[in-house]
Amino acid sequence: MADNKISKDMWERVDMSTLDKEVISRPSLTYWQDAWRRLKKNHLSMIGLFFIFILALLAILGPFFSNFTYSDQNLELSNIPPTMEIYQIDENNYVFMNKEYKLVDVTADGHVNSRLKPVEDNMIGKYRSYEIAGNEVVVDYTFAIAAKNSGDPDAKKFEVQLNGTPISVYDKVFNKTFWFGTDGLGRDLYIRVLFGARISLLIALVATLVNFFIGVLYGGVSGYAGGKIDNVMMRIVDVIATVPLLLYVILLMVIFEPGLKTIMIAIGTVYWVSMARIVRGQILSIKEQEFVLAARTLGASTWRILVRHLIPNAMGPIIVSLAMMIPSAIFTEAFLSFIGLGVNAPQASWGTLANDAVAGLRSYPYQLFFPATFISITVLAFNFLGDGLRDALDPRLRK
Amino acid sequence: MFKKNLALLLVLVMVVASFAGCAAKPAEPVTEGTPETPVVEEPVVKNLTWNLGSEPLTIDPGLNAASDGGDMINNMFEGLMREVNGELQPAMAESYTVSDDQIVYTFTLRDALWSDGQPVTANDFEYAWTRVLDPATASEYSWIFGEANVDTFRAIDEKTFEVTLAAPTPYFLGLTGFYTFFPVREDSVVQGPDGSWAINPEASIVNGPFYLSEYKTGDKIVLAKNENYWQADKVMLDTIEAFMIVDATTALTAYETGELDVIDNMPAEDMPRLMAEDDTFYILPMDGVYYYSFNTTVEPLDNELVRKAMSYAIDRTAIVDAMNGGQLPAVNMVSPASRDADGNVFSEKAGAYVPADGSGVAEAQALLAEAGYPNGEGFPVLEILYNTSEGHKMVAEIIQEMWKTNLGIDITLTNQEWAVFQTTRTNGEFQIAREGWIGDYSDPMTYLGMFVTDGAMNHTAWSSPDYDALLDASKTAAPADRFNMLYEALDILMASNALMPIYVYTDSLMVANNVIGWEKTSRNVFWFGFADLQ
Repeated sequence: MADNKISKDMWERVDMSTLDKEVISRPSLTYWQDAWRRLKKNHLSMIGLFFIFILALLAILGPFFSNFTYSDQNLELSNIPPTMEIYQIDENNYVFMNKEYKLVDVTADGHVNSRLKPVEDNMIGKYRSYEIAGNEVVVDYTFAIAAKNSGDPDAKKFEVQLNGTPISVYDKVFNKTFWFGTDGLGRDLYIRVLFGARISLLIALVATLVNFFIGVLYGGVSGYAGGKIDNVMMRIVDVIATVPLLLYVILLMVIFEPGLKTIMIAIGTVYWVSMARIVRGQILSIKEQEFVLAARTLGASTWRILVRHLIPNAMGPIIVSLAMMIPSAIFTEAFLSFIGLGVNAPQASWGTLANDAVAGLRSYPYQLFFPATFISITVLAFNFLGDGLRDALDPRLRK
Repeated sequence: MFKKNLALLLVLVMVVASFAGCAAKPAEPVTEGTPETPVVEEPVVKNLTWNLGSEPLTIDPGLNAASDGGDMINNMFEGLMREVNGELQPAMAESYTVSDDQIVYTFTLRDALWSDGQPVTANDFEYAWTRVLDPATASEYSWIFGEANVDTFRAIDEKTFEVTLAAPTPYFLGLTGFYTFFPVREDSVVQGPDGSWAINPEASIVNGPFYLSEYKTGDKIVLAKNENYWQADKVMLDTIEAFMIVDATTALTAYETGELDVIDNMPAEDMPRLMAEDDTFYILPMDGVYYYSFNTTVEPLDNELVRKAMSYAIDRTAIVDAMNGGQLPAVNMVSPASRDADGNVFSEKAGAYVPADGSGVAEAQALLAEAGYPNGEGFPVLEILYNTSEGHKMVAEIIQEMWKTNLGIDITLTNQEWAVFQTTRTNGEFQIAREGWIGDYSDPMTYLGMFVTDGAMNHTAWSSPDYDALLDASKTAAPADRFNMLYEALDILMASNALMPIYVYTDSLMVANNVIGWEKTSRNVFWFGFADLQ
């Protein structure tokens, strides 16, 4: 026992650097922090997210910065395009000629004032004459028929004469009064497109909420419970899924008034169905895995297993299908409005705007361009975002 | 075991189904050195292509009540008289006599044949007219016999048809060229009394210039020349293809690429361009008025002041400007097509009951205040009901905004499909409804007759015993007195403001330059009987 004594050299100081081996050098990230970090690396997704953010901001705040409301009509200033070819009459007077060969009083920088009243409107001689600040201005469109019959799109159709001599276009300017131009009733398209954005984003929100709170939970419960409960729940889903959405909407129109409310109810009753199926399938495959068994052994409640363990692990497919469903909901609303089952006039959604514009497509293509562009870009933005979210949220792809 | 069998059955079904797609291809004959076929110059088939628009509900003369069906029928059937070049000419009738008291018309029929070669007899007319008046036929237009004052009619012999009127009726003769008065063949009709005989090429027998050779639901109707028509030598076209293209933009595109020769609906947005640039674009006057009905049983529309205020608050000139179709503002309920006994245009002499432009706004505001709704305060939200169409929507949106700006009242818009809309309107389940009336004959009566108490087309529930009495009395009155009564009746009708006239229709159409001899009658019905293609 003499060797019991601890020798001094045993009390050696430990090198501090070895302690660092136990330190977790990477900052600890929560699940969502990590997802956000990975989402930020996906440029397309960030562009999509940024666009949706800007659009939401514009839809909410934009109308406050405009002189018009979505229903204001100015029948005199109908069908004015966003870019105008203007003619100079004198230093202070400029005119724009619309597709109907009628002159509109504008300013040199593109502000629209009012439609001018012709002194003489000769439909047979095919000319209109105006008096502007003491000058005689004649719009002569006698060439239009010959130009059309010649089949040459560049053939000369009309002539604007100032005091007897033809004048040419002075400048091509952007419309500063109506940024996106006006529609057939002289309503500002810019404000109507923003109003349409409100409706589309509202539909997107409703579709998301419905998918999440009904679809995911319904599918989750069905999949986890299994057996007879699963069977009954899935047959209900089958019944709902077999009736086409269009039929639902038409039937709902009989009960409720046509309008946004009815579309939201229709989307609410139908859109969670495919989500429920996807989630059920995922849950069925995950619930037999060891970590669920472990959770159950530790005494976790069914609810906790479902919400904390199963659904987060099924998040990948959920996000993917959500990403597909938001744009399809937006598109469904646009489609329903397009065929006349949508919002009531004078309210505007992108679908009704596009529908209104189709009739005049040959003469006023810009009226279709703006709503169509917004539909496309928004749907694309949601798709990009969904794509990125799928990669970011999938726990199996976590590095 | 059951499950296994089920699985087997499923597999079997799928396998069979997959084979269903593979139809046996007929073996192609292999010929070596095909003999040269001599070039035979085929006779040029003169085929007129025409867009009918939506599919007609029926093309049975006795059942039809719509203008598209009327266009088809006018080229397939022929009545006692026919309007050609704006003049009423004897058609199936070779001649007619009228009794001195203008009561009894005796028509002598010409030796005309049906398309199957049988002669057209007076019995065919008697059968057709009796059929329309039979309640079991449920003809929507049977009331026109009442408006024409037809009392009795009978076939005296094979070739003589006698009609007795209840009172002298100047427009009766013109109405014999209207489709409800056309003859039909009994043995043809019994093959489908609900109107299906008319769309069945095997059952349909006609007496007009063209017979039905093909009917493709939702696609097209093909008519071919009827060699048995009594003036078949004047019929130049071999076939007419009537397409059912609903969308105006599509129809215009088809016209501009030369696929269609005749179209009569085009987008309002394109009209100014077509007017300026296209020499095949025509705007013809039309005997019709576009108006709104106020439901006079609904509060606050039961108040005459409110109705007057609403009618005064709109700018009809601005509306027709936006419509771009050359329409005229309507200032009373009769179109400018009818003239009175002295030759004055009836609606002009009657004058304006509502402002044609926006000059009535101040008065309208005062009226609404008098009715108890100053600046629209406390005014309930009302609804405009219209049938789904771009044009109707546009007018409704303009009026909605005008009422909101000028009177401060809120309006919602509701659209329904045409068939549903008609039922809703007839049942009076509306507050403000879109209406339009195309006159059936050139007389104010075609408009005024609608608004008698419980009239089939009076959806307003408005009723006035004085008005009914005047119209009744006018039927037997001498021409000058008759028109004074009609003027007075219009006064009563317009003073009620149960109706809000908006504009007088025009008929815009495009006919390619190589089509000659086409015609639109004064009733705006197409007549291609003597048309030709160059």
